[in-house]
Amino acid sequence: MIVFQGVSKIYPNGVKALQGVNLHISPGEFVFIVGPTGAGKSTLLRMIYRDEVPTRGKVFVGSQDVTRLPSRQIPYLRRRIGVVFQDFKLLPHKTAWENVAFALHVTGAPEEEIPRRVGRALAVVGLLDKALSFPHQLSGGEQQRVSIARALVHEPPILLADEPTGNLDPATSWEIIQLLAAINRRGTTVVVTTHNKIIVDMLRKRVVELSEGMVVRDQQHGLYAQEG
Amino acid sequence: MRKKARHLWRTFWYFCQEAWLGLLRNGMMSVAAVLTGMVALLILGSSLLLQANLAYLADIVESQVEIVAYLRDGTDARERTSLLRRVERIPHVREVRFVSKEVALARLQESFKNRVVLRDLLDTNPLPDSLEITVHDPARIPEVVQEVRRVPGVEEVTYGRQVIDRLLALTRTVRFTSALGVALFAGVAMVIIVNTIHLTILARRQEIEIMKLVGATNWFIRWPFLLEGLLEGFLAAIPVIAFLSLAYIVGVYRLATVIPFLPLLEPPAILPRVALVLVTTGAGMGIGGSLISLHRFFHPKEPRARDPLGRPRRKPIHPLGRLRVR
Ligand SMILES: Nc1ncnc2c1ncn2[C@@H]1O[C@H](COP(=O)(O)OP(=O)(O)OP(=O)(O)O)[C@@H](O)[C@H]1O
Ligand SMILES: [Mg+2]
Repeated sequence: MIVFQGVSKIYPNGVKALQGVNLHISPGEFVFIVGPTGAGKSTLLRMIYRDEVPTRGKVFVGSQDVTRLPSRQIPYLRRRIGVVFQDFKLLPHKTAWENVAFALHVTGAPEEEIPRRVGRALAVVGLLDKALSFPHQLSGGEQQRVSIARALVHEPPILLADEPTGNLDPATSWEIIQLLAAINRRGTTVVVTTHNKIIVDMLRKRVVELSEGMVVRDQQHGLYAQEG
Repeated sequence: MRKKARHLWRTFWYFCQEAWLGLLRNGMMSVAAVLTGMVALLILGSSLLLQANLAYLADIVESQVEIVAYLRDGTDARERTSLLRRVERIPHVREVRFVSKEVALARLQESFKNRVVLRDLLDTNPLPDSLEITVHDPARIPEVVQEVRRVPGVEEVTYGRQVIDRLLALTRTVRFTSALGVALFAGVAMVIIVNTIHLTILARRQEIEIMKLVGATNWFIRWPFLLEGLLEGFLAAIPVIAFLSLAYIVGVYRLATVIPFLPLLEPPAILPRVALVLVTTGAGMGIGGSLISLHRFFHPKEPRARDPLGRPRRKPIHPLGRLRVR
């Protein structure tokens, strides 16, 4: 469960990125966040994994108010939230396998569990056969799969994806979105920001539209743009 | 329990590898940090050895200091006895020995061995009778000297205070100048360490960002850098300890054959202590440098963010945003 209660965000430079956002996302939902550039989509996601704190309002993840989370608790919040980025954020000198294992190593996961968990995450994204490739040996879609596998390796109840298809061609974008939908069907809450009209219109999932930091539309089975 | 221990050990091993890689990656900077660290520790170590020996020497000299009271010429045996009684009753006096002029001359002859025969040079004995006075506590010497001076029949009183004072002054000078040198070079070493660690942090910026995103704790992120600084400190301390130990052992041996009566501290009595100080100081420089660097990176000075009412915010605005170095 993710809840935004009257959230506003004013950056130190005075930009009003979010204004009075109220949002309720139930466990197991699949939500698209759409809106023009600068509407505040990334800012909204960053509030969830406590990369930013709101200037006003509250953000709950589960029953926890993450705006009041002491900083030493932040790492544990992030282990429950997988994040996927448009630019993948893979380490170039590590293989696909090592990139995924990295997330477990640095969070002190028991060593003997790591191979099994990495294997499973790579299997979910269908990339076991490329496990030993380095990022530069992988296509954009494959790199995005690795980063999704890394986001999944903690088996988080929540997966956030910030324009996961921004750098991919339409066919690959479609594959990635199908993958996110499949992950959602296994029970994970998925929140995706996107500019990709075709994908949003094909999936007919819940759509939250932001404009100038405000929620201007929140529609079940919605389209990329308002109908009519 | 065993599992947990093995896990901790693996994690620690991972940190060590990261630290070592960081050290290698920085190449010449690491070498410069270690070398300046070595200079600082070398000054510190030699000065400690010197100070300890000077203090030891001062102690020995102090414990051997005697007051010598020269008696007026022509004092007879009866006067002598009463004089001796009086001196013995002075507080803090431990023992009073009478040394006749004949004995004094014989001693002098002794110290010249047989190179010169004094009897042939002198037709009369020019040395006075004297009293050799020892005290319980060397610190009381000045008081006792005052008292002895007042005893009739005593012509002159001398004691070894000057030697001790000079030794102590020398110790102070050594301590002061070496402290300056140590501070200077340790400062430079720290500055270089801060910079090498900073380079490592920059080189691993991307990794740190991802570590934060996937939920690594701050301490997990910091450990490898602390170890890298620590490693630089150790790498500076170990050769200095080896060199100083060897030099001291050889030096003591050589000096002992040249100046046999010079009291020097035995190597086992002083070297472990100096080694401990050097290792601790080296480790301190390294960890200190890392901490400064980490602090600068994770808490950079930036304009304090303000909330809508213009009050400074207490919480950092974007803990990860700082990592996005522009
Ligand atoms: N760290 C920051 N400091 C200051 N201003 C920021 C910061 N991050 C974002 N902004 C501003 O906040 C507004 C919203 O940005 P945000 O990144 O959330 O938009 P977005 O909807 O994700 O846009 P895009 O579709 O281009 O990714 C923009 O005007 C942006 O310039
Ligand atoms: Mg964005």
